[in-house]
Amino acid sequence: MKSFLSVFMLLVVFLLLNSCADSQKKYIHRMEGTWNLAHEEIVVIMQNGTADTLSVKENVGMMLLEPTATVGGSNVFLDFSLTLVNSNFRWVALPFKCDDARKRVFVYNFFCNDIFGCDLVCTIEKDTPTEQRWSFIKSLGNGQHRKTTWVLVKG
Amino acid sequence: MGVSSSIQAQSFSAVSFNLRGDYEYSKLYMFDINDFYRNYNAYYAGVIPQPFDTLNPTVFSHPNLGASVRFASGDPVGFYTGLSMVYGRTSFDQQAKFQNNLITNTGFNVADWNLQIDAGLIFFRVLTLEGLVAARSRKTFMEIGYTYQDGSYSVGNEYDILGVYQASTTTLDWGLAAGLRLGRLYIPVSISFPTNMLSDDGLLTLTDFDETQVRWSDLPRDYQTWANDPVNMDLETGFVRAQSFQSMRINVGVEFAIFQRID
Repeated sequence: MKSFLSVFMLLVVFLLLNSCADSQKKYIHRMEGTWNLAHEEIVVIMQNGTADTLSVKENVGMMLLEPTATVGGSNVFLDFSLTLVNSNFRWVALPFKCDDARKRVFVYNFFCNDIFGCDLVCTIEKDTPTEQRWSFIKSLGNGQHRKTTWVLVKG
Repeated sequence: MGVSSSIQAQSFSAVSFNLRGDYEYSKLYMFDINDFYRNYNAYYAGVIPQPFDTLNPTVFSHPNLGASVRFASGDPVGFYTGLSMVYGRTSFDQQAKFQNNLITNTGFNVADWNLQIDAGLIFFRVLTLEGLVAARSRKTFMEIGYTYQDGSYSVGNEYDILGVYQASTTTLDWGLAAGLRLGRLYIPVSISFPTNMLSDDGLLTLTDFDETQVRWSDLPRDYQTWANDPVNMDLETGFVRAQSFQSMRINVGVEFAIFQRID
């Protein structure tokens, strides 16, 4: 009887622990380090379904993701620092995380340092330990949208 | 004779550890999510030739896997009890297509943990009739994304409604169960109904929202007010409630005793 209950309780504990696995923690563990922004492609999506390429660039910059100092007490955030080639602006130690469903990444204060309208949210299209592909879209009006795709390669 | 029969009648006892699989027919009571679909369709009427269908109330049904411990004592009428834990999930999509060929996708991912205790009687070592209480935890993810005309898919922040929403629905259910015990097999059937005990008052909320979000981070039932006049959203009835994912459940399954001891 005792052995039966022990096995059952072990199973319950295992299942409970398994259910508590946190995808955000796993993601920041994967992402911590230096990433080369190896490829950037910008297209305009037309209403007729065609995509007109605006630009394609290689080795656009470098993103450093390191344990957060900006979000106290959190274990789902990293700090990102981004340097782009041919840009004088640098993003230094700003908050970064993925969502609970691991479908999006949040690059906080990417556009500005105000409360509203400053964050970049990207859709995760590819998620491997050595390569990430993110995209983000902006409405241009008239039913057209501009899509930017970034491919990051672990440095 | 009577005394010896009585002693013999009480001598039967059995304990088992079982693997369990079942199918859960799950029927939703409340349809907050369908209010969202109806209002979304109404808001875009005229430009959305393929609107959302409303959800079928049984769309959350799914198979479960888990384990149980069961104990029986007494013959021909004895005491029977069990503790089981099962896990199951299901996923499905809904789509609406605008006249400009932009598609709104709503993808559901529903995961259920159920811990059930039942107790009652066993007749002739075979037939069981029991009452049950069950702690049920349901986690519902709803992803709203756009598929653009070139096939690109996005759950970014270019439009406020996009994102991944989540609701946790915890209930203490009560119900009735019956079963057939056939050697190492046990065939359980049960029906259960949710109560409001243990349930929370949460909403279907964005898992994480960016600071760009100036509207509410909860999925609206009243999409038109959310879109046109978000300040005046009705906080009592305007959003999809986590409680609306409670359901009546009928479970039919089979258990196999991998350890069994009969005295």
